[in-house]
Order: sequence, then C-alpha cells, then structure tokens
Amino acid sequence: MELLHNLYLGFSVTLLPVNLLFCFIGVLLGTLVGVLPGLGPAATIALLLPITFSLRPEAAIIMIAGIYYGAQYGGSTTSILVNIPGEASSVVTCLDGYKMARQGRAGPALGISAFGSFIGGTLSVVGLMLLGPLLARFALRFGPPEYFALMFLGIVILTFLSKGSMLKCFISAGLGLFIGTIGIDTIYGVQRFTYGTLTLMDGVGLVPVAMGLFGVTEVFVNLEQTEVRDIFKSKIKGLLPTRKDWAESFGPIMRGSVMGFFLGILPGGGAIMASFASYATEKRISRHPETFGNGAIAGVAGPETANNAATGGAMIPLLSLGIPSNVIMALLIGAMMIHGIKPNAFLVSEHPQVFWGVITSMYVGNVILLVLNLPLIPVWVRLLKIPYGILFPLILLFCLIGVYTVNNNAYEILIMLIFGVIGYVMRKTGFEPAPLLFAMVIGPIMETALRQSLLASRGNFSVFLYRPISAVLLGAAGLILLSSLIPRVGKQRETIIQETPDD
Amino acid sequence: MCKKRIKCAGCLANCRGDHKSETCNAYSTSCSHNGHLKITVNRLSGLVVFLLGFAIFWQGRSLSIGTLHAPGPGFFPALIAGVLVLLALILMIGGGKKEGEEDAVPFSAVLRMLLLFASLVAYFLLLEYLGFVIVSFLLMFFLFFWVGRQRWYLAFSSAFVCIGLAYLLFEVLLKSNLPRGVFGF
Repeated sequence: MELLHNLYLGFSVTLLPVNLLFCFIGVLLGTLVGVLPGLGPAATIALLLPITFSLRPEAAIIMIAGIYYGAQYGGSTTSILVNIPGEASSVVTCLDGYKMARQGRAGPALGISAFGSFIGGTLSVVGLMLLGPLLARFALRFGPPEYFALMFLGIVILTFLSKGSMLKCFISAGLGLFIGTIGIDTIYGVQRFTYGTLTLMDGVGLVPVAMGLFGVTEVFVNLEQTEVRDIFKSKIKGLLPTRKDWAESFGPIMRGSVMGFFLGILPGGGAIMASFASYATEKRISRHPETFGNGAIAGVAGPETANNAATGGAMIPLLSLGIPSNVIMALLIGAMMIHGIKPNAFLVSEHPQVFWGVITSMYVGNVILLVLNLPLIPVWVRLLKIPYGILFPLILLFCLIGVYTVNNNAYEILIMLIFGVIGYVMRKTGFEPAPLLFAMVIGPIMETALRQSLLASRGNFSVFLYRPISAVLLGAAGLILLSSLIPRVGKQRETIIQETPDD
Repeated sequence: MCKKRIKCAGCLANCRGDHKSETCNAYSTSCSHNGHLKITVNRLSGLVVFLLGFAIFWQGRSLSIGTLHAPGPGFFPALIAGVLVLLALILMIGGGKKEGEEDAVPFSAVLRMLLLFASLVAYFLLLEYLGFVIVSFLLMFFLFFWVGRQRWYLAFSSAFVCIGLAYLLFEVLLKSNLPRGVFGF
C-alpha cells in the first residue's frame, strides 16, 4: 500500500504540465546530443545547469535525468548508421548494429534497440522503485569509513573501465582530487590554494571544468580532424522487428535488463560495463556465437537494453547515499546542491516529491522516447549531416553563455578556457578527463569522510578494515587493482576498452 | 634514406632508416639510438605531474598537516601530492617502453586552434567592456566566416540570428543578466 501511495505521489508530481514539459525537453535534448558526436550528455547537462536555476528542483532533476537516459537512446542511432558510437556505452552496438545496417537491416536494428532500451529502462525503474528505499535504509548504517571505502572503490572501477593506461587514469583522478581541495576547508574553515581570489573561494566550479574538459576540448579535437563522415545512404525501412527478430532478442533483452540494473548500481561502472557484459554473455551462451560480429540481432538487443537498464541502477547510490556513480550523476548532485537538496540517505523521507517524482518521470520519459524516436529517426540521420563548421560555433556560444550565467562571473569563462586547454593536452598525451571530473566532485566528500574516520579512530587506519562493509568494499577495490596487474586481464581490458570513444 | 625526414622522438636526430613504406615510424621502433634517454610522451607528462606534485607541497606548506589523530587542512592535499609524485615516478620509469601512437598534429590545425583560443581569450577580456551582444556577435561572425568557411554575408546573417535567439532565450526569457557594456546594451 505504501508503494501505491508513493507512486500516486510521484505521478502527481510528474504529470504536472510543467514537469511533463521538462521531461519532454530533457529526453529530446538527450537524444539529440546522443546522436551528435562531439557533444555528450556531460557537456549538455553542464550547459543546461544555469537554465535550471529558475526551475523548481523536481523539474530541474527530471529534465537532467531525461538527458541522461535520452542520450543512451540516441547513442545507438549513430552506432548503427555511421559506425561511430555517439556515447561510450554504445560502442558494442557498432559491432553488430553497423553490420546489420550494411546488410540492409538498419530498420530492425534501430527498432530493436529502441524497444530494448524501453524495456530495459522501464524494468530498471521498477527495480529502482523497489530497491531504492530499502537501500536508503541500509545506507543509514554507513559511517565515514564506509563512505570513504565506497568512493575509493568508485575511483578504482572508473579507472579500470576508462580508456588508456590505468596508471594515467589514476593520475587524472589524483589531479581531480587536488582540484577538489581548492577553496575553503570544510572542517577548519581555512582557505586553501585560493590566493585570495574571490572566484576560487567557493572552489573551482563544476560547470566551468565540465564544459572546459568536455565541450571546449571536444571542439579543439574536432578542429584538427577534417575527415568527412561516411553516412549510411540507403533508405531505412521497416523499423518494426519481425517475429523472428523478437524471438531472438527476447532472452538478451531480459538478461540485459537484470544485468544492466545491478551493474549500474556499482559506483564508477554503469552503462559502459553493462553493455560490454551483456554482449560477452550473449555471445558465450548463444547457440550460434559465430553470427556475433556479423549482424546478430541479439548483439544489438542485449547491450542496448543493458545500457539503459544501468541508468536506473545508477540512480540508486545517488538517491540513497548521495554518491555519484559516474560523471553525469556527479553533475546531477551539483544540480541538487544548487537547489538546496542534499542528496543523502534522508532524501527519500525529506524530499519525497523529488525522489518519487524523478522515478515516475523516468517511466513517462521512457514512453516518450519510444513514441518520439521511432518516427524521428530520419530527422536524426539528417542532423548527422550538419557540417561541423556550423555546429561548433554554436557549441562554443552555449558554453560561454552557460558558464557566465552560473555566477555572472567572467572569470569562470577563463577557468573554462584553461580547462579546455588542459583537457586537450590530456587527450593528446593519453590521460582521460572523465576520472578528473569525477574525482573532483567526490573529492571533498572523500576528504571529509577520511578525516572524520581518522578523528573517530584516533588516527588508526585499521578502522577501515574492522568494519565489515568498508572492509568488503576496500577488498573489492584491492582485487580489481591486483587483477589489472595480471597480464592476461590487463590485455583483455585493453582490447575491450580501446575502442571506447570519449563522452 | 627515409623520405619523410621524420625526426627521432628520442634524440631529435633525423631518422636514417631505409623506409620504403609510407608509414615510416621513426618515432618509436625504427630508431635505435643506444645510450640516449628517450624523451617519450609518457616521460614528459610524468615529469610534469612530478613537478606538479612538488608544487602542491610547496604551495600548501602554510597549511597545517596536523596529526593522524586530528588531520589538519593540509593533510589531504599533502597526501594527494605524495600519491601524484609516486605515480609520476612509476610512469617515468616504465614510460620508455610504450609510446602513444598519436600522429603529429598538422601545422595548419595548430594554427587554427591557436587562433580559436586567442579569439576566446579576447572574448573573455572584452566581454565586460563591450557587452554581451557586441562581443558575441563578433566572435560568432569570426567563427562562421573563418572555420565555417561561409560567405561573409551568410556568416553575418547567421551570427545575427544566433545572437538574437540567444539574447531572447537568456536575457528576455530566463533573465540571466548578461553583461552590458559601455554602450548600455
């Protein structure tokens, strides 16, 4: 009964016209940026943060969540049609999706990925609804050592899954942790690395760094390439998968939903890991593994379902612990803080309209996506043909306005430009920017948790090992670190991650 | 002789390999200059991170580290700086073997990026003097004309439309208080 009551509350928030409108805008924009390579969901959410200031918190978060799962939809479209994954989590879709398109089956490939995404997305929202409040209650047992351990695990998983050498990803995360310390120390109130400037007093802003690393850097990288994209030319027809397609896809979709949801919960992992795991599983248990890589529909249905199911799972640590599980969730935390909502274990009881409103909006958003995207696919294909010379000034203008309007402070533009250059140099030298941003956001939480743990334990580090939850989390992190040192695992990690594009 | 006259990344001498293929790679494999310490991307970036770690130590020296019982504000930065220095050392020591296979960026692209960056810095410098409308219009016109390679009147009109829409959206609808310049708009 309680659940029904909560659902009623949620839908009464979601179905308000204004929230419906922002849900619609969110998923539409999400699909759009998912389709356009060169503008990912991270940069888009950063761009739109200033716009959300004047909204009610529910509307703002509903829209941002919509961008996130909408982008997972859009990313598959470019994978299938152009063989360029719009998002990192759609990389595996290229393998079989593009092959299907070459065989004249672009329609069913797009169709099944839309249906799979819908089913995975919806099932994961059901899971989020059932498990979220339970985990929030469990999270009450989390003290500072557990928080620290969980965030450490998050950084380890993220670096393990990032492209390039793990060592470099750790360095990138270390830089992020340092940038997170700039500003006023939370415990003693001392200024750190601010050099007396007002701009740095509140710390280096999330928005300028995110836009610099993901927006401006992307423009720089794209400017040096002059290649013309080879766009799939033949007409797309028959979006609806046949009965045989459905029969082959049903199992992968169901398994992908479950796998994606649970992998999504893990901090640092999320959609990328889910899609790879689903593809590997389907290939292993398939009766015709040789068809994988040659246009097997199961190889499209499974991963596309899994990466959408992961979005539901990813909301759990955020809504119950206040810990982001990936860069986009980190931005979502930024949005919640702006609205004075502290994401933590009390979110469900203190702001039920936000918690349940966002969850139910994800049902509605998934329906909108399905209805919207099947007819809109031709439009997205046409959008891919916009020359970059027209697109990039618009991206830059949006970045400039967006950064300025956060605090009406022109110096934040300078910070964005500096991080644009840093991001470019990092990309050229093989350092991934995503761990930097992620670590920068969780850095202050991590530092406070570490210092509180040490204060409570009187400087004894064994506190992290005596408490069961933190011991398990740290043990898992240690295992991942050790396993990456084994040459075979390291090799496999490299071959899998290699083709991952940047957000 | 190598036709492409590629310099060895290690010792900056011209490659003397006999490369007939187009993909001459003096960069990492062909050139074997014994006794030289190869300057690789990894070593160089490792050195930068190494120095950065020390810079964090140095800049944070006024912050008290405290004790393990009661860590002070300087504790965490010092810890990170230590980790960074350590990781950078590992990168520098192991960094000679593998090489990033990035191709060199063509000069014209570098020039374009420098121009783009300069125009953005100019935007930042002029924004609060000339106001949002003028500076943004100039920037957009410049970008459309120069990188978008549109004809000047097309670039002019698209810049005009963009700024008009942006002004409507942010200033009129969202009331964002975009900067006004000395001309009052």
